[in-house]
Amino acid sequence: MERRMNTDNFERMLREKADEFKMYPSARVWHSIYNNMHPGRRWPSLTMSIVLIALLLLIGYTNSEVAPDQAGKIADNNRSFDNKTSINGRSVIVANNIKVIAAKESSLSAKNTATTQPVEPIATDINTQQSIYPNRIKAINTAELNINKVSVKEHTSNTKTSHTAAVAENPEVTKIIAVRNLFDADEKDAVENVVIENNISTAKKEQGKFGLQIYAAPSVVYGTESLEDNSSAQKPSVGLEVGASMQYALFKKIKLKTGLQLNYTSYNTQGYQNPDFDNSNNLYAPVKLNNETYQLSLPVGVELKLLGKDRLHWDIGATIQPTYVIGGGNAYTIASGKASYIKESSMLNNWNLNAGFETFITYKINGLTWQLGPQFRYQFMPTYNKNFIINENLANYGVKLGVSKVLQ
Amino acid sequence: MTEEQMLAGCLNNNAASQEALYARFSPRMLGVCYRFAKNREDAEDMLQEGFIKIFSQIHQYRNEGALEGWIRRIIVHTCINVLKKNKKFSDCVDISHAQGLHIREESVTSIIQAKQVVECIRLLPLGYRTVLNLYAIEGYSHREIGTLLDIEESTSRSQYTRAKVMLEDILIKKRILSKPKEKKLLTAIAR
Repeated sequence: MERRMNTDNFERMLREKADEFKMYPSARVWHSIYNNMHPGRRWPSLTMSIVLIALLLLIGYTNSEVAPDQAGKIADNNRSFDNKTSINGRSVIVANNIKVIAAKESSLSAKNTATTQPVEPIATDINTQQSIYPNRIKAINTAELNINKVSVKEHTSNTKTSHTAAVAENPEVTKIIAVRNLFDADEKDAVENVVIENNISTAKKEQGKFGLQIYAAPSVVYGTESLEDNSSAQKPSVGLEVGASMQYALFKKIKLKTGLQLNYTSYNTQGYQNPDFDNSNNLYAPVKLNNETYQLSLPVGVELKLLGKDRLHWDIGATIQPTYVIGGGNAYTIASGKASYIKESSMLNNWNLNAGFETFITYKINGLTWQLGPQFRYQFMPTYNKNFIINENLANYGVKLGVSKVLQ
Repeated sequence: MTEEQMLAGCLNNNAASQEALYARFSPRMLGVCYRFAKNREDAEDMLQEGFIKIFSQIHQYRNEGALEGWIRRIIVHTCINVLKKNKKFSDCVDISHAQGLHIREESVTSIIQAKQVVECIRLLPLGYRTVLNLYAIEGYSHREIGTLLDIEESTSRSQYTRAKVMLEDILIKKRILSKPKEKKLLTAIAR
């Protein structure tokens, strides 16, 4: 009998204490349950991100350099022309059947010595298919134009020496200025240079290696807590990140970056008052408490270009962010055994370390590069020191919008 | 939201009702899972699986008894199924080496935190811990435990007896229970 009573008391104690015991699951548990029960309704941010990325790709495609029909023409022209010469490593289409009849004076010198021979076209504008005659070409200050001098090939015909000139590098030729016969010693004074202006195939300007970027990233802040006491639970809240950084193009696809960044983090803690303190019929009276911090960070990291060309790219990036907490810190602690919350900011860890990971689409327009994409930031050390009952590491999930400009 | 409203919403697969029901019962149910699991991550996995079953089988709840009791049974069964899938209670101590039982007078309980007791329960070997959880806390009989765990009823009884003794030792060593006067009772344990 005594044995049974002792057993009953022990078991009763176990049941009571086990029933009092509560733990608060992390957010990912509910997310997994939700996604399982509602598979057709994935998180809307994912859908929006996909729509946004698809939209940017569409814009980039429609604004790409060469339209498909022109690309086809280039290919056809490249195949049909027999003569090609190379300028600066790029093949140049040489027009067939273009003959230059030597003129006795250069049009650049404004002399206009007529010859008895008929004036034949010296070149053809591939875009407009119009013939260009030497004596009708006005003198143009070459300094005002971005011109490529093309080599002149000698082409021997049956009756006379004629010269072909390289006409176009691609179908976007807009102007032919003059022609000079470099190989005919007798006519070298009379024939003018033919130079071709190409609006697109200009030599690339020397790009600056440094760039300046400013950005902002609204986010949702989660606390990944491990509780010593089971009387509180964290709910996510909003955060914000703003900053400026300097970028250095180390290689064609890799950039280093560093700068300054300000972060605001906030999350809510739901506390429950101990039954001893609660006079109501409920066992626990919920209390909502807000924890927030202002942080100054020095992010140092790298960006890598994965895909893309010209204006539209897909990049990824990562940073390490030494952080100093400059304000905030509404810490709520439990006093001497039971849940009596007091506000205490002295338990903040002023120094911390964060890491950021991001992937984004960039689009260049009017000299500015815009970027948009998701970002994840993780805090390695707890927000509060070991005297605080909750050890948490904050995780921020956000969307980053930035704009950068290359410094010339 | 009342319980009836939550139930009605869950029957219609309403997300808000499901979330409300989850928010109300998940803290205690995670505590249940934690007593069975090896660590917190495993406990959360059990909880997740359990609630998916609850929402999928909510139409089977007949309003006979408290909703929490029904939910708890599903959670416990989910925990057992996960444990059976991962391990076969092979780390039980061989009962043939059992010695005389020390039956203690009622222990003097100091201020005992629930978490401390639960953590001490988790220190027990898996087989002892599971049987103790099911019998002493969840209220299953040894016959039901035998069916759940695919063991003999007598095995369940023996494991529970040894689990209780071991748990008391742990609680005393951790100064959660005060050391009482001991009455030694010679008992022969079936070999």
